[in-house]
Amino acid sequence: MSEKKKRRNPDWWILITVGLLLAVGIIMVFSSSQYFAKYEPYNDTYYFLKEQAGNIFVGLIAMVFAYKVNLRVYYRLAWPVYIGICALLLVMVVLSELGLLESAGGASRWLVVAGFNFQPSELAKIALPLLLARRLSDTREYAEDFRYSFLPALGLLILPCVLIVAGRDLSSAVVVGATGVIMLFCGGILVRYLLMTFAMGAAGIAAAIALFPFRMDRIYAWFDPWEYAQDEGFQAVQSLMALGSGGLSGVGLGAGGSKWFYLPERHTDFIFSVLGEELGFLGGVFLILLFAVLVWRGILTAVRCKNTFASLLAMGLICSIAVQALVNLGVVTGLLPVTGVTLPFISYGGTSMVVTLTMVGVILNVSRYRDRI
Amino acid sequence: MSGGRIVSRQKMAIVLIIVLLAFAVVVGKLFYIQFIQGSELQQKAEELRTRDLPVAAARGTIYDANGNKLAISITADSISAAPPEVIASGQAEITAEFLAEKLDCDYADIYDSITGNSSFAWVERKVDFELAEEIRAAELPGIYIVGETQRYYPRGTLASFVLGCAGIDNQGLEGLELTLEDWLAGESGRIVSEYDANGNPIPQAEYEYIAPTDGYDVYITIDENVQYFCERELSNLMESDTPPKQAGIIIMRPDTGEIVALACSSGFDPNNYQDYTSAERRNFLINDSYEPGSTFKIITAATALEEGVVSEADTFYDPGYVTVSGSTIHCWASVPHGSQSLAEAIKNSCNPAFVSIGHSIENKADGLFYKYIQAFGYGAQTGVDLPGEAEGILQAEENVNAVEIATIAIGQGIAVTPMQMITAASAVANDGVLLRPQLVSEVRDGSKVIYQSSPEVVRRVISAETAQQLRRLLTAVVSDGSGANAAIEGYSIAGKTGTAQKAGDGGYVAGKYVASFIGMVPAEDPELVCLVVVDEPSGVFYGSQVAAPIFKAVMTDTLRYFGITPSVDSSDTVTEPLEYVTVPDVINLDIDTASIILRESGLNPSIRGNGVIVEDQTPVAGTSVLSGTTVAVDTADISVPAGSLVTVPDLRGMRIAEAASTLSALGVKLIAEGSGVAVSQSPQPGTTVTSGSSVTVVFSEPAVPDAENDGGVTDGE
Repeated sequence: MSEKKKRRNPDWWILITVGLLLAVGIIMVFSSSQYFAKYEPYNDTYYFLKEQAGNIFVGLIAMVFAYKVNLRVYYRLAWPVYIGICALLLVMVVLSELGLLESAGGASRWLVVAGFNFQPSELAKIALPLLLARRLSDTREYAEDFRYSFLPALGLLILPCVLIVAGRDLSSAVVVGATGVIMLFCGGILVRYLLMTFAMGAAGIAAAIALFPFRMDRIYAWFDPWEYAQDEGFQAVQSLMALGSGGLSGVGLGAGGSKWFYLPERHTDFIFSVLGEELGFLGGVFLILLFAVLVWRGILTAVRCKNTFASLLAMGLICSIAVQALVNLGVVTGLLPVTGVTLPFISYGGTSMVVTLTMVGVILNVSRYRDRI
Repeated sequence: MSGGRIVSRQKMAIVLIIVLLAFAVVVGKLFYIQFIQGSELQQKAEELRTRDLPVAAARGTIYDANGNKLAISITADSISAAPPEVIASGQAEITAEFLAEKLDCDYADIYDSITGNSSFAWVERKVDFELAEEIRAAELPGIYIVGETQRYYPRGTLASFVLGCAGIDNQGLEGLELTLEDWLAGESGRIVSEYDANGNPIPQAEYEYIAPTDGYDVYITIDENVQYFCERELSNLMESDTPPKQAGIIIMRPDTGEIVALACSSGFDPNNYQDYTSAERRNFLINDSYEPGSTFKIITAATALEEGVVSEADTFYDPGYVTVSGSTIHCWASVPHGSQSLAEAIKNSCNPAFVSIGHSIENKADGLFYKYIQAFGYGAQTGVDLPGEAEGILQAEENVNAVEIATIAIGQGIAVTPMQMITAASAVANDGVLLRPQLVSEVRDGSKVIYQSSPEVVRRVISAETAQQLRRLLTAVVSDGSGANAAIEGYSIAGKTGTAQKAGDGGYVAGKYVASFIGMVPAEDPELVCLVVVDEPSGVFYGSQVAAPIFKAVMTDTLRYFGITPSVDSSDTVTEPLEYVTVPDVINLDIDTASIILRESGLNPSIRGNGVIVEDQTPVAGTSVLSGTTVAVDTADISVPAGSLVTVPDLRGMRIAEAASTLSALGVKLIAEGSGVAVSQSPQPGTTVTSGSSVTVVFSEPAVPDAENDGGVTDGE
């Protein structure tokens, strides 16, 4: 292997962009949480600021670790990690069905292990790209084959998605599934097979919505949030009012009123609403530009990498971040029905932050193996 | 893991483009939300977060000519709701039940109003203080007690037809309250403050205090004592065995046009104006017309004398009737007056004589009589400061021929308002110059004078000589004619009685009359003109019998009250059976003691209000009135008996409305200086004072709020 010779510096664009995103994020977590953090049960204005600082710290350690690990290790670990995560998701579903998990917003996502909360579905966002990258690079010689390339890859994609949906976390399944489909597309699977998959995915989503009626109301509320302003449309309406108050340059950092218990999930899923209110259109566009730059540099990393596994891995991970950011922004701006997805780097949350920064670490790792093109 | 790639760069580029396009869509939606929908959404967000507490402006006080308060603003508690908070509390049902029970209202109505789609709703306006306290103590989520000002008329029904009334929002509805709205109303203010979704005030949030601008004080020309004399006589008339349908009195100063008193028999209490029908609140002296009958002969005579078509040397023959173009007009007297001079014709109020006078005027020039009628102000509003003034009815001039001239000359076939009648008569009293009748003498903004009235000349109608001559002729009416019942010992009075049949559908209605008397005192240089109108008297119906005695009763007290000295030597007449007494001061006495003192003085006490301590009296102490006169005694209407000891609460940090309502609960008055938040007070908190006393509180606008100034925002509780 001649990789050592070709190894370069990591992509500084990605590093700087991620640094800016984290800075904006921790400021917004503080701004959006400081009002309600004063009250029970936190009683500390700085509670979420401190917690998020800790999350970022752990995340950065994970990022450096992920950056340092040799890419071969990822290749070797792909199967064990995938099987482990799927097993964990299965355990979640069983525990949930037995009523042993605390339910939040109709979805049971949290697993408490030794006092440490984490969401297995977040881990699937790494596990699936890892395995698909390996599988697609392993089968690249007959990538267009239906039975030996497409079907197994599709099965590997669907399994965690089904388990996540069974855990009543449709939104994470959408992010994981969409990421997987993009990987199949880039990994040489025939487009017509993918269109077929899309049809199946749409049917699956429709079935999931039909099975869990609380999602149907969200769809109605999506079309006319003001009609449902007191119940299902409440979050969407509060989000729109927060954003609408922002105007060009916002009401000023910390000066927004939506966080006074009006806007739900103000420091997590709807943190962008607070940002839009306080920093305005300019602030919102700046943040979206940061994501765009990150996605551009991430995909460029995948394009430049000659190694199929590494290239697909980087592609999958950056797309996972991109899809999640787009779903969140779509929900917050009312383009998509309300669903619980955090905004990477910005929203408050431990598992999400560590997983996202781990992904960044892997992408930076891959970015060292780039060709000149 | 080996090299060699099957991964398509093109496909990755496609993914990149799609992702970037998706970001662009988000930016587009963001633009739409923040710019196109921005202001609407921002407004909705602010409505959700802010609560607008109205700070009512105090309506200006209305004072009478002596500076006595006729209409004042007092604080009252209103119950309001912040529906978003009520909904958020999840206790809307319990809250609505509680309020419905306390307020004795329909549960569904209350529930709808407190959970409505607005940020602020009134539940009940201006409730009893005790009730407001109970509701305040219940600490219902989203329900607030707001201090408002309420109009209060301390004299009750007195001068209610002049004052009118103000509605629940302190808006003028009738009378001067309506016509002077711009001066009296002021401008209400607001406290806009922000709250979180749980109803906690946001200490560091922006809030706005828009101070109310209180209305101007208005001083009117009405003298409450003279007004009282009028209302006393009217109520005596209405309570007599033969009450008329209605009656009214106007007293005017002819040299200025100022109205000293204006009273209708159907006096309503503006404090409870809703309890009266609009008919009962109708001011017929301004809003309705009547056929004046013989009082109009003043106008006929004035015109004839001014135009020189008759002279005092002329004689008139009365056969008991006169025939004009085939119609016969009878004289009122059963025995014909026969041959008589002009003075005698006026004294006798002889119809045939006045018919011929009317024709003499028209013979000089067509339309001449109408010219004078209009010059005296008939057929047009007088411009008095009261709403809804009627113009009277003049027949179209082209339809007026000899019959119409004949009837108009004796005051039939023409409809005038009582206000027009007294205004025209005042022109005669004012040596021929017609003035606009006035009710407002001064308007003040604090101590600054905004408006001061002065006599407003409409036009000269007749010469001073004619006016003086006519008054001299009219003196005989009272001293020796139909107006004898109006005569007041020692005063020369120029007057005229009137008894007109009322017109109904298709002609005059048998047995329905309007009796009136108009008099000017003293006749040589009148200081006062008084018109008494009795609508549909029962029993005796002649103006001389019904209206003239009322004139006498009112003017006897009024002349004495104004200190207008008798001009006619009356030493040879017998002593009046009634004596004059001076009204004693009974203010602040308990009602029993006050009643005893008044009775001992030969006066008749009439208690108004439900308190135990006398707050005010009418007429005021020192007034000279006839014995037997009723003295109205107003009692304090406060929850704490006046004179009891109360402890001054700490008012600092409160706003004016809050401080006033806190103090009013204790029967203590608030003297507010400045506006904003109370910063100091005198006496100090904890001091014991008697209720009825006052506390001076200095208010100042709060500084721009910051984190250290959490207490700056009150939520109006």
